[in-house]
Amino acid sequence: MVRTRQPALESPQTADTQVDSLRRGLEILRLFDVRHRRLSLDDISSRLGLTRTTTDKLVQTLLNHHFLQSLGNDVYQPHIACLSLGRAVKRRLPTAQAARPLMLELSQRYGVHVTLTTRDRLHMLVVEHCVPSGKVRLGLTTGSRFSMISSASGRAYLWGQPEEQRRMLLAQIEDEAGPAAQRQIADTRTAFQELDRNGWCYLASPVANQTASIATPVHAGTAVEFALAAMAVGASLTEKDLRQQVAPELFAVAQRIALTKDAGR
Amino acid sequence: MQNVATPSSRQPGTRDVRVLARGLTILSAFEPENGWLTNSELAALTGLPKPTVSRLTSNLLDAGYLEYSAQRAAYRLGMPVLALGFAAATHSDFVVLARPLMQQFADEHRVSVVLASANASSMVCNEVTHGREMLFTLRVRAGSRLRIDRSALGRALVGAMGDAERLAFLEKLRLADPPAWESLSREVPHAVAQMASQGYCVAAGTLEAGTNGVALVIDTPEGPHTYALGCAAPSNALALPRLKQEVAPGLLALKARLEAELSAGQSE
Repeated sequence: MVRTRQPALESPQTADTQVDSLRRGLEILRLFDVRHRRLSLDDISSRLGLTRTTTDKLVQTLLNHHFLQSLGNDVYQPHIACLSLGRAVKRRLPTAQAARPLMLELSQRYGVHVTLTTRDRLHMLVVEHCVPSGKVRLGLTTGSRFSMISSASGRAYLWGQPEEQRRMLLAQIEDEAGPAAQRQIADTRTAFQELDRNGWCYLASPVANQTASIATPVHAGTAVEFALAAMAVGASLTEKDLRQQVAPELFAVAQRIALTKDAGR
Repeated sequence: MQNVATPSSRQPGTRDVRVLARGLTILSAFEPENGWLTNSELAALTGLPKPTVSRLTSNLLDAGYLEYSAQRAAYRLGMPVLALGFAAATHSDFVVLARPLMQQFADEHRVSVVLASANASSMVCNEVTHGREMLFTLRVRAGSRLRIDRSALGRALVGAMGDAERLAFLEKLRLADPPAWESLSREVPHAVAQMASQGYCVAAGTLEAGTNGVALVIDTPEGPHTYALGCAAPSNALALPRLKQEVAPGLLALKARLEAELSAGQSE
């Protein structure tokens, strides 16, 4: 991806204010996720630290453009337009399209959740997720996000980044979380060693007691844009099963996705 | 392109924040196929002046919501757009699904059934059903708050969490409600063991003297252990042997049924 710089068209102050309004409006939409499907005006203003008046103006704009819909009493939920915008993203994402049948097969064969993610700021964003038959999604659905530093996917993604980028991201995580992140960063460095040895890493209890994940980066040439993870829930698969049976298969699937991705470029 | 506002199709709302409105219009122009679009094409599609489009695409690129191809000199939607409410727009309301099955269970076992979720220091009841033949029911209704440390619901939830989540949860509880934290911390090893070995937690007389309860957690498309589901009744009607032999297996079956229905109903 190449970034461009456009000439400034207004005074810097006006331009900054306008950029802020755009950024804040989109931040409102980011507050809604599978755990927060409805939010009140007060929720939104307090979570973004905006005045109620400013929040109201931004929300009215999102309503007028059918990105939010009102449920009455100043409570809002995302409009179906958010769904069509997200679907448009997925429709032209060759990686997700190539990955889905391979992920589905792996998921059904071993009864594991299989997740393809990419980075979104300091989180991992779910691009595609396959659920084993008869199980529920556990919050892992396209568009949902989870911590980069405390997930196997995030650690595999970080490991795949160039040294400078990795250092920068870890520094940002530390800045944001403070001393609380130290333990996670130490665990992440241990995961890097496992990734050096095996090409994948293992993490116990990523989201709940009796869950375990393994994850591997998905390469495209020298770059890593995605991570692929398999998560076992319950006692049906032991750590040994995950490491010895599922991990090699996961690694092979990641390589096949990478090949398709390269071919699609 | 259902959301594209062109001068002929939609005038800006009187209360619109103009730059946001225009940014949304640009994003919507990429529906439904998310093909590559140049600034000129976007200007033609949206009816916005080209300099305005150039500025907006630059800002959206900086924020990650657009990708740019130098080869094509064109933009398309970036993956972070998936974080703009997409996940929230896909799912239905679990409480609506659970309510009739909870009532059926309450009637069958002559108990009160509670679906609850945690806030900082208590379990908040999302839905409560009472067996219609019960003479005495718990003083609990939707919106009631139960002590997290004393209820089977709270213990089941904490017992089901992963280690890191449990530590973070207990730390928040320590700050919000030190006595509840102290009490719950003592129960944690037992709760973890109960959840691991039998999939539910039993609380005998701890929430309220003379009341027995049992609870487990429900995994939903929204996440693991999103809710705790439990039932309780006066101990003379729900003695521990009946609770363990009859009611707890029934509650496990109800959990399986709810999760199966959620699994069947989930789609993107």
